[in-house]
Amino acid sequence: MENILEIKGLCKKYDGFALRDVSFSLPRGYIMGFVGQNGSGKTTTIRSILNMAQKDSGKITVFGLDSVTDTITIKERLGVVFDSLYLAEHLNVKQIERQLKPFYKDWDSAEFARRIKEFDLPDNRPAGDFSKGMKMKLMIAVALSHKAELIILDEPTSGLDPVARDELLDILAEYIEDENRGVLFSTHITADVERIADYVTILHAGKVWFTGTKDALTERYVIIKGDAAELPQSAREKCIGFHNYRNGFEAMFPAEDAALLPDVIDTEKASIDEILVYIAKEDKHERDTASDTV
Amino acid sequence: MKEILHLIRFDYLTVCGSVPVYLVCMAGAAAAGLFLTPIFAVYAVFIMFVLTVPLQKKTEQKVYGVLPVSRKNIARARLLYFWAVMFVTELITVAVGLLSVRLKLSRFVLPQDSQFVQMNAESFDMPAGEIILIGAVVFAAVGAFMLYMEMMGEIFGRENEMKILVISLGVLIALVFGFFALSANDILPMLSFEGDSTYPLVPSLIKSVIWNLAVFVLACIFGEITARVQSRREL
Repeated sequence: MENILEIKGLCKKYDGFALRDVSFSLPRGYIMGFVGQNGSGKTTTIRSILNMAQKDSGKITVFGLDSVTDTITIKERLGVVFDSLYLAEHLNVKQIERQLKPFYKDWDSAEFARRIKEFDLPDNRPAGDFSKGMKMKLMIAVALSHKAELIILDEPTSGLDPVARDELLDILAEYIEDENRGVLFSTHITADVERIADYVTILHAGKVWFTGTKDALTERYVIIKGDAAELPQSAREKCIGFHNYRNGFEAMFPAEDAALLPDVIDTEKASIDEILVYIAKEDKHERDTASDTV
Repeated sequence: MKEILHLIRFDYLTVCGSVPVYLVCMAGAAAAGLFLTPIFAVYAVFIMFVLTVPLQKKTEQKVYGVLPVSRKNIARARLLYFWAVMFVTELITVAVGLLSVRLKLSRFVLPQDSQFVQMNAESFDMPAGEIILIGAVVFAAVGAFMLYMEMMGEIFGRENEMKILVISLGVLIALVFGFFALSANDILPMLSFEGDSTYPLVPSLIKSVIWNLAVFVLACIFGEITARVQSRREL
């Protein structure tokens, strides 16, 4: 399976934050949800892919091309959707098209007009007056009009109402029907990932915590609940984000070791949202100590 | 080169895509130059500010990270855009000035015995060479200033533009005063600004071309310096 995007050992250091050895790959024909808490490094990774941030080390290839030396060729074939509009807000859709068209060899004006109509975007109003959902659609229309093979979205659904989010996800689902394309979709709204992603990469504190198929992630962990006294020490050491409450404990646990647990401990499937929460709890060392018992 | 031209067009459309404010300035310059005095055609210099200053506020830096363009060409194109605006505005100013002298339309608008007409009578007798040269010198000065400020703003940050302006003007004033002080004390030779006041057309045209070329070279040099600094920075 050919990878449309491949990141190997990406390191990037800023004051107070660092991406450390970030590696993952996205095969053609799939959507990858790129999730993590705010500040986990998702945007820095995306900026590195786009060569907007200069990486300290590591290698990024898009369409098999180097992200630094072949950045112009890559961007001809790449669409980007940021959480805010990157186009001139005082211009209308037609003026924006006039601006962008010369930069793309494959720009298709008929396709742009068709998408603008399909997305119900007014072509005589400044883009800055659009709702957030309309701005997202405009950026997607731009990406589709130059026949982008890979769309990178950075937190596109944050701040969108449920209807606009649903529309956006439908557009992406339709886009990926062509198996030569790919979508990298950064978000902290995991419900969106649960709905459309095939692959998931979880970034936590600048490091890849998990990368693989969505099913592999959700099958890998379970949430366990019960009386902490019933939990064997060997099982306790494998708990992630263990937290003891007044009426029992909760933790995430490797599904493959669930057989070690006594029957009195309840187990249930972990959602991506829960996985993120327990990773964060683990990070805060919320262990079963007298001090953090609520 | 094609990429730079596309970026220049991109900047132009960014500034005047919605309301062509510069047309108002141009109309003002044309009206003032044609109906009052050719000197007022220089009013068109404001077009330069209208077409360049808002660029920083209206451009989202992220767009340059998305467009398939080289980082260096973004800086080069920006400085060349400034020069192009200067050059086109200068051509308009000179054209208005020449037409004003030729048509003398002010006689239909202003009473010929008015104090204003008396004061500006000489301006209607300006030779074409003088108009061309004034246009070249005025726009070269304003253009060089704007190019310098753009380069410094890109290198040291927009938030420091006022500091840069104050420091640069301070240095310039100190240099001028220093020079005159040294000249007055016979340490440096006194400069003479007296020249040929007849302004023959061909030499004036040549001088005008030289002024414009000098600012073009300046735009290329400043563009290259900015490009080198910018290519090491993140967007």
